[in-house]
Amino acid sequence: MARTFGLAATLLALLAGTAQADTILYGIGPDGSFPSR
Amino acid sequence: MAYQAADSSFYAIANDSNGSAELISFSLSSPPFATEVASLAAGDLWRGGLALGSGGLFYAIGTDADTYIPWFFSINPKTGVTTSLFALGDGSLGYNGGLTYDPADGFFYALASGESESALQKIGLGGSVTTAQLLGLSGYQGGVAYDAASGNFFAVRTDADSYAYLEQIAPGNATPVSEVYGFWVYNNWGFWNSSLAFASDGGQTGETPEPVTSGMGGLALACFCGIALKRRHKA
Repeated sequence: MARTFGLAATLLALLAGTAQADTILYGIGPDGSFPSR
Repeated sequence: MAYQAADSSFYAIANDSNGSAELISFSLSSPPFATEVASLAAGDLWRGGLALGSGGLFYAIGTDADTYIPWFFSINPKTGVTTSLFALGDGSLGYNGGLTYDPADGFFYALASGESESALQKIGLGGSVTTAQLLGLSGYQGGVAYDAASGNFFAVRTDADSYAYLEQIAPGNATPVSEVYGFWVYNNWGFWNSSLAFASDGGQTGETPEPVTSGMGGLALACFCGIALKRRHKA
């Protein structure tokens, strides 16, 4: 069964500075670009 | 959002526009498709977060749509049975910032918002609710995740100008809240519905992900950013 998360949300992989090498922080966020600074 | 290593799957609560909510699961190879695991009670606003506790039970915070009292629930993913356990206060704090679990101390931690600032709340399965750390700012609606490696928490906060930040929360430290430099996004809808979880990368950060669909494109881009930031961090 297909579901969406509100708007066209995308599962995003974030990086936590202290995360282990093989562990990533994931979040459900907006679709589209993912600017960083 | 929660991650269960046993089946390498993420679990999240999806709310639809008719007031219905479901516990759904998906894996890194399945987006944008997900599987319904359980239907959640109508009449509650399921925006307080989801966490995997011990024994394979999920826990979630749902707020009564009539009284605005937040409740702590358990969800059995095998039977689909949802059980209300206890209320989280009198409704003066809004639990919409996410939920996470520390298996070392057996407590759940949730982000709640008051009139002027948010707080990291410590929740025991016996019904205890205490404030672990006041955060000074508000706008925490993008989820919280406990990092066992550092013993700290990570959360996404959106400010009044709709900029979202990844922040590290170290309860009891002299500087309990710090921004994780490198993550920043502008979007009016932002990161929301309390969805943040640590998980294995499934080997994806060791190779170049290829966009398969438009939906996967965002994930691939995010992985690229993760790789770049990780390398910069190590440098």
